[in-house]
Amino acid sequence: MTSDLSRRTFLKFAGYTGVALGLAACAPAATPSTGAAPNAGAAAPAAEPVKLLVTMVDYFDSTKEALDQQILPAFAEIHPEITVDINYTAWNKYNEELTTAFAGGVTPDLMQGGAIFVPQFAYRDWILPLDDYIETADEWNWEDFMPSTRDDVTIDGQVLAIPYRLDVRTPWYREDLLAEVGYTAPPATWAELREMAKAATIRDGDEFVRTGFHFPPNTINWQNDFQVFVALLAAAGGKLLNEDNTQSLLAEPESLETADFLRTLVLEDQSAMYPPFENQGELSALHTGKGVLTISNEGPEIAARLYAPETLPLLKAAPPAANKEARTHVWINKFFISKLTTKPDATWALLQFITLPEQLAIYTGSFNSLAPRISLADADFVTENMRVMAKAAETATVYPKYHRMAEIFRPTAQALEAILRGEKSVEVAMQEAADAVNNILAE
Amino acid sequence: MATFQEARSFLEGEFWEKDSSMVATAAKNPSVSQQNDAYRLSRILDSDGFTALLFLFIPLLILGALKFYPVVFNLVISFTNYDLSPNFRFVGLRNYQEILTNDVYLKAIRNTLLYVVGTVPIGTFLSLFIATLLNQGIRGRLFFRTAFYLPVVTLVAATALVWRWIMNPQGGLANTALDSLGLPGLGWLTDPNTAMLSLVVITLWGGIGGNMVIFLAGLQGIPSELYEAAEIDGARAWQSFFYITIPMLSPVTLFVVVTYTIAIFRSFGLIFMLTQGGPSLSTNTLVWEVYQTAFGYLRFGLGAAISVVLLLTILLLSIPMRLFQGEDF
Repeated sequence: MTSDLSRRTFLKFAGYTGVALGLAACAPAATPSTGAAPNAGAAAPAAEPVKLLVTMVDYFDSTKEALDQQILPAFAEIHPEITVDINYTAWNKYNEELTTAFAGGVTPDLMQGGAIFVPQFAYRDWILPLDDYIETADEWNWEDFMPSTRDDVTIDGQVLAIPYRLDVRTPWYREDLLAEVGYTAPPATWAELREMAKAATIRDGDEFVRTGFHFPPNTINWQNDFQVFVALLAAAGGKLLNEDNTQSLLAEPESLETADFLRTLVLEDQSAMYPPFENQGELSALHTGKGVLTISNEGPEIAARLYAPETLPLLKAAPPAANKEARTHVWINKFFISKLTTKPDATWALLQFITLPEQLAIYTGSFNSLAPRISLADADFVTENMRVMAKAAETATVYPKYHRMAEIFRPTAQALEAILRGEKSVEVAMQEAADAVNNILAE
Repeated sequence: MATFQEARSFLEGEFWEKDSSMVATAAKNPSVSQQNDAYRLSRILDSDGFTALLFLFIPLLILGALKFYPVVFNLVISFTNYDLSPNFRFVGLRNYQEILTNDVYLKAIRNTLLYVVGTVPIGTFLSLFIATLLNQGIRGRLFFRTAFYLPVVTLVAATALVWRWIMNPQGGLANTALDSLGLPGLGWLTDPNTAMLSLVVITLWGGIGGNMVIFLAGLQGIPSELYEAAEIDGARAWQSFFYITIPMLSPVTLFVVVTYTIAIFRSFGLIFMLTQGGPSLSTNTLVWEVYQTAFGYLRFGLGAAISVVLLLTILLLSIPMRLFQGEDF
């Protein structure tokens, strides 16, 4: 029997098939729901198997364990139909990952975000409003979240995220090293902070042996001094922007006073090294005895617990050092649901579960971080240092709800860098920063 | 299989001319017209040219989707304020105006040029120098070739970590060495005055091996008779080098200079790992600025405009190089 299939026919058939497959591959994916009316407070459909993708960026190894061994198994008992895939990523590439995901229209269902993410994403209509869900989730109790955190995630009257972590900046100090120079209590005011930093500094000629005040180093250069500046600005009664986010306040007296205080520590008193001592692995200058005072989140305690337990009893958090007021700044990290999710109800079920008091305690307790729920203020994992920080969080300032905050950080950080390197005066640098920020606000 | 000429004649309409008499008959009789249409269609489908086009379709689709579309899309959004929100609009040349008037972007352009000027000439010279040395019959030649090439196959992340340690101002290897010589330590990557220099040193370390291999291949392609003739004529080693090696290597040198220049213009990994554009924007290059503007601030329109400026800068430098050489490469 002879075949009718000639070489040419075969090639042509192959070509048609290729074209067809090519076109099929280029066809758009099924359009995701972009505003699915949430079935308020309800869990996922009973029998329908659902798979959720979650992106986590705020975690330690212990957090992964807590999720895998405690939180997700407990969730699976209640919602056996929902499986959860977690993608663990890192802060330094997170913005890029999420941006690409949203631009491509394929996002995780649930994701974490930093302090300034919500306005940025809300402006682009990327976040699912949660009001209808929250309204009917009585037992979950939205009122249990600290008022400032609830306000932080509310934009134009809509709740767009659920806070899960308070990243408060307060003074930290080495109790033993302060005692060495005769101080038995932490600084309560800027003047005391300056005095203690000066007294605790040890130099060998031009070289620092120990810095009285230590800027926490960061992989991202501009955050070294910027985060300290923002924390102190709150104590000076200042803000970055005016109430309606139309004017920079960087050239106002409060900002100038704060920048000048940092300049004094670095250039006048030479009690702070700029740039600071680099970390040795995960350990900062406070752990290695090269730094005495700093302004930080709970990082020193976490690192001490993991890598230098002998320093744990020596590291103490203090209430914010007061200038006009004893106040600091808090970065509030939060979960939010993508508006592109096709499974909003199931995603809410998971988010609601993770942020229940007992589950949130497991999550934040896994790396000894502060939870935003009032009922967790005295949880088992809360240490004495964390209590000090939680108290500071109650009155702490948060970032303005402006969708281009990340851009505003840059000129501010540049100005601080120029001041602390002695390249520009406080007035000139801060005025330049204010002008640059005003240009951004005017666009 | 369709030949190139067949495909070309098909595309240029020769096929249609051959069938013009049938078309004329069909105009008078509708049923004949339908038959002719079917016949004509079957001729088209049967033709080698059509088969060729069919096979070209997928590669062209892929090429268009992955190469041309992003470039064109990038160019188009560079004239908008596109920030991934639904409310973007055409802004004309405003993004370009901002790049050419804002100090941050002007500094990025300056830094990029400084980075290229600091790296390419020295890197090309060192690569040629080492390649020439390793082209001699020295002992351990293979070891040295491997040693110089190793940085090329080392991950950027690993390279960055090692150099970060070497250049750590507090107890790093570089400052320890300076200290042992009685010299003061430097801030290296943390000092705006030395950060770009440090970056250039690290980039040179990582790039010399790759160019060295290209030069080695070029050197081994030069006929030995030329050197023998020069030697008989009494030429000295340096004369052979300048009058034989350098001219014979000129196409290779051009290739190295152009590709190295483009690579440095596009260099991102080390900056991302080591400095993130700092300190005081001293290592803020155009590529870093594209990344920062687009993914850090989500200003994709402006980021696209910066990338167009980068592209134009590369073209402006590459075209004269090619014209100067007067040869295709």
